[in-house]
Amino acid sequence: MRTVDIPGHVPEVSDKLPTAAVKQAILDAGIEYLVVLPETPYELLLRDLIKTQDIKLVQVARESQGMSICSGLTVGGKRAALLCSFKGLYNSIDSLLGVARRTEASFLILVSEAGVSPDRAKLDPELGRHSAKLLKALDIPFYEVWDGKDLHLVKVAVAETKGNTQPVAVILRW
Amino acid sequence: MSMTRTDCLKVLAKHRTGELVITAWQSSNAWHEISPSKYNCSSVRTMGECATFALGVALARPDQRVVALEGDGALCMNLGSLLTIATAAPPNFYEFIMHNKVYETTGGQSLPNVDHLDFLLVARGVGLTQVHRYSDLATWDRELPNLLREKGPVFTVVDIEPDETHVCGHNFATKVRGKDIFYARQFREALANTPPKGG
Repeated sequence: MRTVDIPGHVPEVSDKLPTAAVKQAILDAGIEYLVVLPETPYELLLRDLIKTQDIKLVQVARESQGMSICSGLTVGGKRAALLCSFKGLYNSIDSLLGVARRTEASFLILVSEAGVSPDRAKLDPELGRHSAKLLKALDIPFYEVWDGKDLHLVKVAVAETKGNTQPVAVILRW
Repeated sequence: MSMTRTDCLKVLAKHRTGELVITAWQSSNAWHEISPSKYNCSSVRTMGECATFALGVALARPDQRVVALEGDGALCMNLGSLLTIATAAPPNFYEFIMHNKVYETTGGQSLPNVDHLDFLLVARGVGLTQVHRYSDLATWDRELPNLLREKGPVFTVVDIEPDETHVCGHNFATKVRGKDIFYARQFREALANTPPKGG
């Protein structure tokens, strides 16, 4: 993956979830492959991870592909995670059910989603409302990270993938 | 001489030398009969995601050649997967598209804009360089061994005739579909018990 510096572009980094802390949580969890699409709040994270030798990035053109690639990596014996936006989760449901579940691949899904706040709800009433309900409806186990103190849940979720037959999700609220 | 899917797969089985083979939908039933192996996986049930699942396996196991058998209708649902494959570019990855120009399972409806559809052009356009097309059985048989020795990713379109026995999926559904989990477990266990070559 390559990045281009865009003059004047200021990434919308969450002050609740510092980039360095998210990166450390991913590394501490022992993730070998991170399958990604660019996601605005994690622009700095991805720029940082590109330089990291401890983790391999796989860039996909659509999140549903990432769900399948993580399934293949897992079946092949690697520890994989998908980092996607909440909309990425929406477009991945078919792969989640038709690939990950059918191959019993258990890996980490990191879903980036806006927190529920009146300001954001004014901008887009769909923000922050559906991921948890969706995962619950699909019987996919998940944790919610609201701030840096919750980031240990990434490691907890990865531990839960061991011996499991389906992915485990962590919703990163920004 | 034109090919049926069975003809095509028999040739692939003849030249198979230990490849991991990931199949989806219509190819699964025939492949399990023609080339039974614990290194077959037919558990992907999302159209267009067979190759991406296989890509993950190829990245995880660079010591193994990984073949993905996918239909043309499935590829139409996920043309962007070619971009992802070209980006990851695993040298051990081989994608074969069974191209009969129709949605066989649902009754033989044509693919969208099929008369102008050129998968090779798309593949080349996203940066895949090892790109092939076979329409005749003798050539497929003659060239497949060399093709499987090429450095991947290799993208190949194989023109096959529509098979009316597959229409509505009855043939397929009764034989393979109920065994997804079994085949997935068998495949995973076989991989786990196959030490990486050269390491």
